[in-house]
This record gives sequence, structure tokens and C-alpha cells, in this order.
Amino acid sequence: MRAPAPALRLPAVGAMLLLLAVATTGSALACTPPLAGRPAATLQSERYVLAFRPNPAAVAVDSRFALEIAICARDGRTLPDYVMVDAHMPDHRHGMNYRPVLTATGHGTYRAEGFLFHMPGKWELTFELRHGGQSDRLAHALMIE
Amino acid sequence: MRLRNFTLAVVAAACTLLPASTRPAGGDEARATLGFSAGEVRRILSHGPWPPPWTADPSNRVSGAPAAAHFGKQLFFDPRLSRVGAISCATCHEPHRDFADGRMRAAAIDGVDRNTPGLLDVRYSRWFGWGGASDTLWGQSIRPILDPREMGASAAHIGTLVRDSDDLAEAYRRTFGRAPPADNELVLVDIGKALAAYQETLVSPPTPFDAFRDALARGDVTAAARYPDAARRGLKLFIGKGNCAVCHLGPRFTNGEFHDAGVPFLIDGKRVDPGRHQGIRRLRGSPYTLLGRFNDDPRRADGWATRQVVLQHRNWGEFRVPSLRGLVRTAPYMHAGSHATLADVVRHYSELDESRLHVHGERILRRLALTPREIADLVAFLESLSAPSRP
Repeated sequence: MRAPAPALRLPAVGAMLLLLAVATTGSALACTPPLAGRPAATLQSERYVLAFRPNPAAVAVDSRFALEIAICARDGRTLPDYVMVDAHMPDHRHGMNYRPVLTATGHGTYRAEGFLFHMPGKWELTFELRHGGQSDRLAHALMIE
Repeated sequence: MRLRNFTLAVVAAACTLLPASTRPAGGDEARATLGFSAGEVRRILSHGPWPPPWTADPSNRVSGAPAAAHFGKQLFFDPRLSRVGAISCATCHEPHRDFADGRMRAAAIDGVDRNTPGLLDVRYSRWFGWGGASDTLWGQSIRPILDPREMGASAAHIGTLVRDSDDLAEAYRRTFGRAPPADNELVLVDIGKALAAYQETLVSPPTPFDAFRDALARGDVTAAARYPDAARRGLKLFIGKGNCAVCHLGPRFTNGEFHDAGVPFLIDGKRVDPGRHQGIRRLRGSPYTLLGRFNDDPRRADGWATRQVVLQHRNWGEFRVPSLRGLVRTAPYMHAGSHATLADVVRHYSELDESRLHVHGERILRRLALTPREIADLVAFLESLSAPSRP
């Protein structure tokens, strides 16, 4: 597996195959992401299960935070060799003013630093997991007051 | 591969990730009496308390030092800092106007393209200037000293001046614990840091809004009822129909970032002011930032925003969201002083030309179509964000 690259904004979709994730709140998972502690949310696609937790745990508007992320591959598949994470406000048609920096911390775990939601409202976290010429896209919406 | 339905986990997110900020307060009786819902009360409380706690700037080794603030104040009013010996910081930042100048656009050695912002509460900013070309108050303080249109000086001018002037050399030694060095740029940066130490002390006093907000927080209906009805109605518009608090949030009534508010960005009708786009480019080219060698914090702990800020096409025509505190004494408004009064500002948003907004930009602003009474109420609210007496 190649070392994951730093986080980037989502590229043009082009011919990539996108999988939109289902946020899970209790359904059976094919694997358990190795996130230390309780996740804030767990998302899954055909190939992967991703759990994450913000740090600090309470995300406030206009305050910097990081994400602890863990990924596992379902059904004996290989972990992604490229991971990207970003966030945007779909209703406002803009993203963040800062580009998060993603660092692989080993065994499918990552830390993404430098998130700042500069407005209250609905934000969507997006994760892109690439492997074998395919890309799985997972998304999670959250309301920030 | 099968495309699965995408479910937005809004509810789950709201339960798990959510805002640190506010606790419902004010008490049911207080908010019912005053006509606010629990959600509105939460939003109102998020605009305080005021002032925020003081913390030193780790990038400035004399931040918070009384000797530095004293030296900085001396420098602020000293016209010898300018190339022509006649322009000081106070030429444009007039104390009796809350450190603005009353002009549409600043004028020093020459005319400047932007309005002079007031300096109260400037220390709480993440970015400085209308385009955010500086990430520190000391870096921002150096910029006008070197700008040929403003003070027109140079590092050599400042270094020579401080070394050769007994009063400045002595104040420098008291502040920095050594004589002014031979390196002109080091002296220039230290002068910026002393000026910043002075400006850090310029904090606006609590306002009628703060008295109302604090009364609401403790459930004191009697005290809260002293807030004028028009201001209260304006506040309700501000956090509701007006959608103003999307950008003007928190105790300073700003998110500290940059937006296109539909204000004309042509200078003299012919040149474009690139706004934040130019600000980021200048930031990246400046040696006086948190990422440079003059940052006194060896850990560069506060430099994340400078490292990670993204230059985007939509930054064209974006300008800093100003704080709304103390507006009464800092007219005219907007980045080029295009709006003479607070009523003009409110009418701008009421009659907004949405087609003027950047085609690639955000879709936040909408024409508000306010009634004359709503405009007056919003103005009353904005006026309540200024203290009646000078600091």
C-alpha cells in the first residue's frame, strides 16, 4: 500500500466510480475500523468501513478541530492506497477556507488537521478512498450552530 | 458496482458532534417575556460575554509587556516614522474616532484604495487588513510604515531613526532589554511588535447589547427589559430573517473570514480591488508572517491558518467581515467607505443586487426586502453594539 497523500480537495469526478456511503448507526459491519475510543460516526461503502471522531469532540463554529479517522476493508479486501478528506456547505456552495492536512498514523488510521467551519449551518464531511483505479466516496452531514 | 442510496445523517450528527457553544439560559420566564424562542436565546448568548479573556500573542515576545505598550503608544503618534516626517499611525487612526478617520478612503502621503478600519478589538483577529494580507498584528503594523502611499519609510529609515534618537533608543532598550541593533530589519520588526503591544490594549467597552445579553443569561427580566424595544426587534431580525449572524457571529460579531457582500470592488470606476485574492498572495510573499523568521514562537504554534489557507478563484472581490462593535464612531462603512451611514449599510442588504455577486461565489446573501421599520430596527440594534461613552 502506498503511503496516503496529503488531503486535497475532491478532484473532478471524471470517470471515477463513486460510491456514496450510507451512514450507519447500528447495522452489522463487515469489519471494525481500528479507531481508539468511541467514534462520532461510522460510514460504509461496498469496500470499506470508516469511523471518525473530531478532536475536540464538540465542534464549534469558527473553531479549529482535527479528525481522527480509521478505515478497514470489507471481505478481505485491501486498504485504500489514497485517502482524501474535505468539507463543504452544500447549500452555500462553498468549502472551507483551509485545506486539511492528512497524516497516516498506521494500520488504517489517520489524523486530519486544520478543519475550521467558518459559518453555522449544514456542513458535509467528504472522504474519498481510492484503490485499484476505483474511488469510494463517503459523506457525512452535520449541523453546526 | 451498485450505487446505494445516500443518507444524510443530519440527526445523528446533531447528536454526536455538536456545538460546544451554548447552554439554554435565560430562563423560560425571561425569554417568554422578551419574545425570544429558546433557539434565539442560544444564538443571542453566543455573542458574549464581552470582552473575551486576554491571552498574549506568542509570536510577539513583548506582547502584554507594559513597557512595550508604552513604547508602542509613543511610536503610534510619532510622525518621524514616516519618510516625510509628517505622517504617524494616528494620522489615519484617530483616537477620537475609535481609531478610524471618517474618510471614505484613507489619505496619508498619497491616497489609499481602502477605508481605514478602527483599531478597537483588533487584537482578537485571525487576519488583518481588508484583504487579510497579514496574520499578525505586528506584521500588519509594519505594512503601512513601508507602503509608499502611507508612511513611505524603509527599514533603513526606521533603524537609523531609532538608533539615532535618544528618546526612541532609550524606550527601545527598556522594552527589548538591549540597545537597538545594527540590523535595520530587526529594528523595524521590533517597532512593529511594540506598536502591536499598544494596539492590543485597545479593547472596546461593554455595550447596551452586552447588558441585555448578560441579563438574559442570568434570567434577569427587569434588567433585560431596559434594552430598547427597537433594538430588541432589530436583534430578532439580525439572528433571524436577516441571516446576518451567519457571518457576523460570536462576541465580536465576525467570523474573522472574507466574503463577497456585493459591494462594488472597482476603484475609481476603473481598477479592480482583488480583495482577499490579493491578500493571500501578499501574505505568501511577506517575510513578516507567522511562518517567517521573525515569529518569536519557535514552535510556530499559531501558523496553521497561514500554512493551510487556500487561494481560490472566489477570493476575488471578497473582503474581511468586520466586527460590528463600536460602529457608531467609525463611519463610513465597507472596504472602500462606500456607505455613509448604518442605514445605508442595512439598505444595501435589503436591496441587494444578487446578479452582482460573484458567479462562482457563495450563495448566502439574498435580497432582504426589509420594511422601513425593519431597517430602523436593525440600525437601532447595530447602534446598541457601541458603548455610549468612549473607552
